[in-house]
Amino acid sequence: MHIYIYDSALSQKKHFTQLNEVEAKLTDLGLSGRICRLGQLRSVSDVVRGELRRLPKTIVAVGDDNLISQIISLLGGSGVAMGIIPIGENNRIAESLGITSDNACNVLAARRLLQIDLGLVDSRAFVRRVELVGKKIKLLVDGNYLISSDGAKIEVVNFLLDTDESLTTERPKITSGNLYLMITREQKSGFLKKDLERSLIPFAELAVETDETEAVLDGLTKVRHPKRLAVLARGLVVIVGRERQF
Amino acid sequence: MFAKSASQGGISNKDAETIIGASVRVEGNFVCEGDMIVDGEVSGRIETNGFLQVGNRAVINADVKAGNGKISGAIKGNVKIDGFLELTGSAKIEGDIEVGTMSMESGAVLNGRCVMVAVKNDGRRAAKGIETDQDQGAEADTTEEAK
Repeated sequence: MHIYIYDSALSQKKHFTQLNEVEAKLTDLGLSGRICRLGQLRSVSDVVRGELRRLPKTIVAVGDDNLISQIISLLGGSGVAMGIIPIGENNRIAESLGITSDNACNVLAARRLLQIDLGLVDSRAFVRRVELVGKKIKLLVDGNYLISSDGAKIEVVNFLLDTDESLTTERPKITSGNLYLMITREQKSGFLKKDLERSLIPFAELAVETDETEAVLDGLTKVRHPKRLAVLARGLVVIVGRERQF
Repeated sequence: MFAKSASQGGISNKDAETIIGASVRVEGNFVCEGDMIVDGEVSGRIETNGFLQVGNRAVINADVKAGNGKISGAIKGNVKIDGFLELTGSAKIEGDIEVGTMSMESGAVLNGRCVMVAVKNDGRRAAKGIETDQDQGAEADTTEEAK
């Protein structure tokens, strides 16, 4: 059975027409299921945890990147397939998986499954990237070596989209079985001209050795004093489109 | 990919699996699988079975082991390269080198012993030497005695 989780923003009038079209198409394709609408009194974590107890076949996120990120982090390791119907303005995760608002219902019907890696900050999952904020951050990589860099932007990346910042290296992939430590620093290379110096280190596990650190997961959630970042290899089964970026 | 890299005298950032920028400091056993570019500071040990490129701003206080390599920076430690090693004019090495084949540009500094070795099929390393007729004769005598 399909469970559809509707973002709270979808109760706005401007989304009614699009939602009606989606629901009609899902009925035509024989994919209708239970609809759970989020609101002030129903948090996404309560809804997803409650639905997981019923052992659904698929949980479908209907909304934007914000909702998709939250549901991905809750479904990580559950084995339940995740579908996406992007509605709203910020839909870069869905696009990278080959899903647009036009083809979403057909993608769901085709049920092309892909196992993707997730990242973990302590016990919280993330999809794309984590920024580590703090002073003089020291990181122990795979239990082997310490990495430090003063004044640079430190991020842990699971995958990058084609629209993300240009990389001189091969783009980290969502199925690589690794996370990537990305350290970026701006360098002056002339009058009003700056170059980016970028380090890229693949790893499976990373320990944060500095106390006063904060992790920002996918630009949405903050975790104070993170201790451990690790990859949850093939931790999520997701339904993807043919035009996906990996 | 390694043969191509060696013949072209280096790897591009796109080919490298691991990149250590100039502002990054690494301490410990830095062991990787693929090609690696180091422009920062490393102390401890560096090991990869791929290509290692050490940039001219890099400062390495570590023993280094790699498949092939191109060194333009400073290394204080022993260097073991299974295949081809290129030392550019800005390279400074204080330590012993064990390498399969090597080229050294004018201006490169090497303070240490350099041994050319061949890696055999079973993984053992043996020093390459000049084989003379006498050596071959001695070898033949030993075989006959053994019989």
